[in-house]
Amino acid sequence: WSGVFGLSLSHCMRIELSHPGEWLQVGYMYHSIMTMHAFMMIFFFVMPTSIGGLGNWFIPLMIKIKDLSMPRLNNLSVWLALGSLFLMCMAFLSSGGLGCGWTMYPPLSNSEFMDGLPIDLAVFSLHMAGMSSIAGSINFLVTIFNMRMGALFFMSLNPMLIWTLFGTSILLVTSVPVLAAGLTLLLLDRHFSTSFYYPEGGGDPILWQHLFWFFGHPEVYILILPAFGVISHILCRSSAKLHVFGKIGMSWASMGIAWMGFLVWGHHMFVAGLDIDTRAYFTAATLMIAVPTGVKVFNWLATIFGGVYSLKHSHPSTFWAIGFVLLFTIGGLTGVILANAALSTLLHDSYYVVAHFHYVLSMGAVFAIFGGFWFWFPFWTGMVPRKDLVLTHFMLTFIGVNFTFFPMHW
Amino acid sequence: MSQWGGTYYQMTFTSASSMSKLLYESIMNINCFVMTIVVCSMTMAIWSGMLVGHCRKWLKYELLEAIWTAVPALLIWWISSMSFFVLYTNAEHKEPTYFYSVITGHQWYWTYQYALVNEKKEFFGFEHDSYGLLLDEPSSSDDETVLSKGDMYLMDVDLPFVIPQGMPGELLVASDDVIHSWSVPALGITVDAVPGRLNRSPILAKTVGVAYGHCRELCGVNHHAMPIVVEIVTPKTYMKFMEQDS
Repeated sequence: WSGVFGLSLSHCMRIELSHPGEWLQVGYMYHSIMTMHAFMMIFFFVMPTSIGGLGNWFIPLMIKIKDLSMPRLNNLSVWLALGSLFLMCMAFLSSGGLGCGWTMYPPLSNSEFMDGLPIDLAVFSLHMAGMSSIAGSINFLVTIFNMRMGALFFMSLNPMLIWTLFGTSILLVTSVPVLAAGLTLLLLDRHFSTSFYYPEGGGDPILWQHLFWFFGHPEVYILILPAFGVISHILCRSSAKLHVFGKIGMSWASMGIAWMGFLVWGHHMFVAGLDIDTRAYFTAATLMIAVPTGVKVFNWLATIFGGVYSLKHSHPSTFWAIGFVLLFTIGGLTGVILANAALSTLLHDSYYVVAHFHYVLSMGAVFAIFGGFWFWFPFWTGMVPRKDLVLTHFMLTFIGVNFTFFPMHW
Repeated sequence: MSQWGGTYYQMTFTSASSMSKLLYESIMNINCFVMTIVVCSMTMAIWSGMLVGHCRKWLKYELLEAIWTAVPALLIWWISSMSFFVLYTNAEHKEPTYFYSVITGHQWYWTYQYALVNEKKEFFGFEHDSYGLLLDEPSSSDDETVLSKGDMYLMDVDLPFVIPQGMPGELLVASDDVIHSWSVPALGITVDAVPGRLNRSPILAKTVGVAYGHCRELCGVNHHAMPIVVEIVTPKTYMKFMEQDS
C-alpha cells in the first residue's frame, strides 16, 4: 500500500506555480507568464492530480486489488513527470521566455521568431509529460481490463470513477502520440532545416493546428472526465444513495463524450481558412456533444433529488459538487454558443473563449479536485478537517472565480 | 463582442454581423431557458429532501432519461439549423464583387492594398500601411504616428482602411511573417492571416461609419498594439479616395 500511497501523494503535491505573477510587465514577459500559466495548470496541476493522484489511489481500491498492474511503469511515469516539470520551469526562466502561447502556433514558435532555448525546452518537457501520461494510461488500461470484477461490459458493476478514468486513459493513449508527432515536426523545423510548417518549403502552419488540436480537444476532455467521476461519487454519498442515478446511462454518456471528443478538433480552427462545409461539419459534431453532457447533468440533478441537504449538516464536499453542477453547466452552455462557426467571426480568440474554458476548468475540474480532496481527506489522513474552515475555502473560491470569469463574457 | 467599457453589442454594419448577433441571441435564449430549468431543478432537488424525506431507492427511471436525452437533442437540432443558415448565408454574396482588398498582416502592423476595375477592365489601385498610434512625444507639430488628443490608445491608427458603403467587396487576407488575425466584430469579420495562404471573406457594409478591430492571433510582443480602423464611406467618396493615389 505504501508504494501506491507514496506515488499518489507525490502526484497530488504537484500543485505548483499555478498562477501567473501579479505585476504587469511590458514585452514578452506577459506572454511568457500566460503561456506558463496554461502549461502549469493543464499539465502539472489538473492532470497529475486527477489522473495520477486519483487514478493511482482509487483504481486499486475500487476494483479491490492490491496495486496497479505495472508498478515500475508507474514509477517511470512519476519520474518523467517530475523531469517534465523541471524542464518546463527551465523553459520559463531561460532567456526570452515562452512567448508563444500554450498552443505554440508556428511560424511564431518556429526558429526565425523564437530562437533558442525556451521553446526547445518546452517541447522536450511536453514530450516527457506525454510519455509519462501514456505510461500511466497503459497501466490503468491494463489494470482495469485484467483485474476487473466480472466482465468489463457488464456496465452496472463498475464505479463511475473507474469508468471515467478508463475513458481518460483511452483518450490519452490515442491523442498524445499525435501531439508528440507535431512537436517532433516542430523540433525538426527549428533545428534541422525541414519545412513542415514553412510554406516556402511546401509546408503549412495549418498542419500544426490540425495536429495540435487533434490532441488538444481530447486533452480537454481528459481534464474533465475524472472530474465527472469524482462528482458522481460525492453526489451519491451526499444523497445517501447506492450509486448515481441512471448509472448505465452515465457510463454510456462518459464513453460517448470521450469518443466524440475525437471528432471535433476543427472547432478551434474556424477562422483559419477551413472550407465552409468543413466548418459546418465541426459545428454539428461539436453541438452533438452537448447531448450526452446534458444527460450527465440531468442525472446528477436526479441524484441530488431525494437526498437531505442543509447548510449545517451537509459535508463540505457537497458544496463543491453542487457548485460544479451549476457552474459547469454554465460553462457548457457558453460552449454551445462557441460551437457555432457562424459566431466565431465575433468570438474567436476573444475573452468569451477564456470565460468558457475557465468556467469548465476552474469551476469544473478544479471544483471536482477540491471537492474530492475534502471528500477523501479523512480517508487519506484519518483526520477530520474543521468544517467552518473548509466551508470558508469553498465560499472564497466560489466568489473569487465567479467574479473573475463571469465579466469576461462581455 | 462589446467594446471596452461597453456591455452591449457593437453596432452592426453588415448583414453578417447582424445575423450573427441574432443567432447569438437565439442560442442565448435557449441557453437561459435550459439554465433556468437546471437551477429550478437543483433547488427542487435540494429542498426535496427536507419536504419529502430520503428517497434512496430512486436510482433509475428510463422514461425520464429518454426525455432528457431527446429534448436536448431537439434543441441542438434547432440550434444547428439556425447556425447552418447563418453560416452559409454569410459565406457568399449574391451580387458580383465590386472591389477587392488585400490585407497583409506583419509584425506589428497591417498593409492594405486596394483594387478596382476601371472602364478599360484594368485593375488600378494602391497600397498603404496602417500602424497603431504610439504613446510618444510628437516629433513635430503634424506628426501623424503619435497619439493626439481625442485618439484612443491601442485602437486608433494613422491611416485607416477605407471601404465603400453598399457595394459588395472581397477581403483577401495574407501574412508576411507569423499568423495574425484581422478581426472587426462590428463588420462580423474575423479572418486569420496565415503565411502561405490567402484567406478570403466577403464584405458588404450597409451604413457609413467607423469600425474598430484588433489582431486576434498571438503574433509576438506587440500583438495587442496592431489595431484596425475601418472607415466606411459613400461610394462617391470612395472613388475620390481611389483616384488620389493611382
